[in-house]
Amino acid sequence: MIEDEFSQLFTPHVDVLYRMAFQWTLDPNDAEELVQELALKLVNKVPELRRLDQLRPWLIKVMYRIFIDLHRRKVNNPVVFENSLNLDESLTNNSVDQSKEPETRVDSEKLKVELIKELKKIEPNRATALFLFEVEGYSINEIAELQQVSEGTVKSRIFRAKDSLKKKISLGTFWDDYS
Amino acid sequence: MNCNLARKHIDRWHIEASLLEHPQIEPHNFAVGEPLPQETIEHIQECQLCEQYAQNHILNLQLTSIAQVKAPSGLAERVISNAQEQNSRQKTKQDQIWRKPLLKYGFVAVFIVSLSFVFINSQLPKQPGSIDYADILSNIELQVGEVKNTQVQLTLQQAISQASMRVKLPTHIEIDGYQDVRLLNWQTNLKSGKNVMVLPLQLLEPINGLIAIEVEHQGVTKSFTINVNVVEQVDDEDKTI
Repeated sequence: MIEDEFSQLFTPHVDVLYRMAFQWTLDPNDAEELVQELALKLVNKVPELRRLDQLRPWLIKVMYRIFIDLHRRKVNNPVVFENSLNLDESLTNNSVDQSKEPETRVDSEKLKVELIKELKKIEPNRATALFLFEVEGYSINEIAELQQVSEGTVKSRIFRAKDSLKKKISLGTFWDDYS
Repeated sequence: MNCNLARKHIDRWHIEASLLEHPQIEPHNFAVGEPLPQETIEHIQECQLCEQYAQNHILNLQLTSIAQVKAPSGLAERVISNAQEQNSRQKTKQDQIWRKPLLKYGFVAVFIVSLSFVFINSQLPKQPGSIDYADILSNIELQVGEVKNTQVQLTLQQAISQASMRVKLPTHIEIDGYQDVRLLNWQTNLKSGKNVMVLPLQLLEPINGLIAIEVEHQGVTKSFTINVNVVEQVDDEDKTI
């Protein structure tokens, strides 16, 4: 049955897609919505999916376009739905090392929340380029292809994103407690 | 200390920190695994280039830490089942909207008002799809209780795949067969040239109203409105007089 086949093709990639969607949206709800949109767009395209040699890069490419479309739609939409993100909760649930001492964990969470806030202020295509390059190990060329811009533009996006974030990470704060 | 040695220490520290399941940046992290020697810290404080080098490593660790999220349990099943459900709902609605009126009434038996909306998809305006921005293009007249098939024609220069169609109705106008439904939403492929959609409209109360039709494609929305004007019923007796 074609629906089962879609499930077989799509399911192995959901975890990776969600992780990337989270990096781009920085919100667990938005990340899930993005993966949902992708599934909805492709549920009828099983024959096309079957023909692809490398499905995952293609899925990521399509999801990136949906992400940019959704972002533009949100920007252009005069009605703002306040999606109250509980950063502490989302981080605690997803990525905080629970084995650490509570006091250390709180410090670390604060830093991470600060960084996420800063990431949310950066142009999405800059932040996504930074994550793709620094975390996912994409080459400049691969990012350029995904974002459909020149390699120079990708380099500039990564540089600007880093620059904005570095301002928030002052090394001085690290030395004080260490010494 | 020279820069090469300082960077070797930073690299080693970075590797140690990366090996943690959840590397987190905080003051104590410089002591994780193989801690940075005090002389290296002093060097970084004095050397701007090595400070930037350390900053890059910290940023990389921090981004990696943020990116380490696990998908919620049952996400794949949920997403796939939602997609399949929505897809089958949209297909049903689409079929009903485009075909049912034609089968039920036929063109001969009912009065058809033809409205023609012409737009070029490459020139869709970059503005929100709000009714406020729509051009009012057409008027139709309805009697209370009367079902009138309204033919909406969209003429496109280029085909559009997976366009989102929305029909918004005021509370006193219904599409026959869709009682209490005020918003119809479905996806469809629009071909190049004429695309005809037939809406069997029914007026429930003697009040004028507006029906909004929106076509959305790749984040751009075009809105149209149909002015519905009330026509008073004329009895047969009145006609004979």
